[in-house]
Amino acid sequence: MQLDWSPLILSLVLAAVTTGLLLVLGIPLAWWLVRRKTLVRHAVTAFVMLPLALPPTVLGFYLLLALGPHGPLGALAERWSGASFAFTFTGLVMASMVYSLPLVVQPLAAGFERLDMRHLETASVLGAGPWDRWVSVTLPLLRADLLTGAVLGFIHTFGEFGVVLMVGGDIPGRTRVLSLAIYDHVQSLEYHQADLMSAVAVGMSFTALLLLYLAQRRR
Amino acid sequence: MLEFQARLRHGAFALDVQGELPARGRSVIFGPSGAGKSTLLRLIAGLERGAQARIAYGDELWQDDARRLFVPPHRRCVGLVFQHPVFLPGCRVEQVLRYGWRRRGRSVRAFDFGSIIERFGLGPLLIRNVHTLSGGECQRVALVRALLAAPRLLLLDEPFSGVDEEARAVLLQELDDLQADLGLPMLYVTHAARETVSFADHLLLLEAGQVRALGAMHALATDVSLPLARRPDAAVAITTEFVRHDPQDGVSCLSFADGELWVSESRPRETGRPRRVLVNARDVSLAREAPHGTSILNVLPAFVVELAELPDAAVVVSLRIGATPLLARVSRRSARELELQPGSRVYAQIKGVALLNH
Repeated sequence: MQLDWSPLILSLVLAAVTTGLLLVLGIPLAWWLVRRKTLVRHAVTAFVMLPLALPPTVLGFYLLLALGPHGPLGALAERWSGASFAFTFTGLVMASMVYSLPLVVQPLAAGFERLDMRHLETASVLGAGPWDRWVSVTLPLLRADLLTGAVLGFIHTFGEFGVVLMVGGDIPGRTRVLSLAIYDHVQSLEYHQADLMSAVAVGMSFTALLLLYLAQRRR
Repeated sequence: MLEFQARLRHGAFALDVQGELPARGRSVIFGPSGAGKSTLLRLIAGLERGAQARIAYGDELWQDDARRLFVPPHRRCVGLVFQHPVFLPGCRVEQVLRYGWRRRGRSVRAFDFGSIIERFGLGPLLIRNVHTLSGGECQRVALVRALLAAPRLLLLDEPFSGVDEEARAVLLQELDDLQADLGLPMLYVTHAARETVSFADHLLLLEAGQVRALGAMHALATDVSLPLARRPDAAVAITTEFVRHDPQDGVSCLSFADGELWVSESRPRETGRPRRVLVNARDVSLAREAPHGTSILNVLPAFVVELAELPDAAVVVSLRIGATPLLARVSRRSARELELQPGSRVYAQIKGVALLNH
């Protein structure tokens, strides 16, 4: 029996790319959400958190519409490169970002909320400009929250099923991630293969969470 | 000159101040809690936004909201020591100290890193983690961190109020010496009257967000219409030089501009620097005639400048020994029996043991 591990590699790459992009996007978004004291902030927060509440199929359905040839993003991509985002790896990354955004933004927003402004004030009086303060004060103070956001975003993306099925379409080698491969094995009654892959998923997610909590305990 | 003019509203609190302080020596902003002292200090540092302010230091304009001009805090070259300083968690003391030094202090070179560490006795602390520091050590590290960033104006916001009395006296003395050596202008916020009197050259009295009085400390501390002189613990500071010590009797002779003071102390405290002796108003008694056969070590001829009745049947008398101001707090009866009036000639008597501390 030959077991194809490429879905595992694909899942890992997808989770890594998504998490990296989410950190880049999530840091300014969380900062904006915490600093903004108007009602708009709550509307945006609710919208950011929405993927946690929706069934993944609902989310996946709308994302498919948006990224497909008739959706706004998909149409744009089609005009640009001749193909929409539906059933592509890029589409998967975009959908995963929406899906995992709340898990990255939430710990970061909590971190910014807790941030003691006196640290930044002290740094500025000591001669640190805005960018310098970001690098030397804000990011070190948010290290634990960044780690939490990154790990949660990673394993959440790693474990998704509904959204990748809707948007990715389970194309082998391109959009067939681990969760889809496991589902296919079960459908074909290949329980042994499904078991092996599931065990890997459990082991990896558990290890990631364990390391996260160990790292948090040390602080 | 430090010129400031500011209007600011924080909910029910309103600050509306205007004035100028000399860009040298030790200035103190004194007032009760909630008077707006810290807010004014933060405005000067550039940390308080949302004000209508104009702030100029020397020939630099730091802020003029009418012209939308604002120099951010990191370009104002001030040092600031908070009442509760913060350090990045997990840092060692040396990292904390080098933060401002790396960014500003190194290029200015007013002093080198090692000498200032030695001066403040921080050598043994350098490798310690900041969370293991005691309250007094925290303030010391925060002060040195501010100094190492080579400020041209040092702002201190009740820096030693959380420190025990003994450590506070040491830190204040060090600050005093530092001022004498570097000539670094300092602006010190406190609600402690005695700290104010023992430290200040210039004084800004703040009450409910307004300037009550502004001027030389000696003038304001002995003005009987202002709160400092009317307090039960009112005092004046006399700047003295060490003259000699008599080990047999345990007294030191200190000279000031208009005379000498004898102070009880078992060992001479000679530092080669001017020393401020704090004289409590209630430790000063008055006599019309020069007393004979008295145990009181200091009998100084003085004249009454002004006096004021206080609510508790006491009278505060502002005196001058030559040009040196002094306060006496006497009972209403004594004031009546001595027929004290502005211009009265009296003898001010101060016990040597009352000058024991400071």
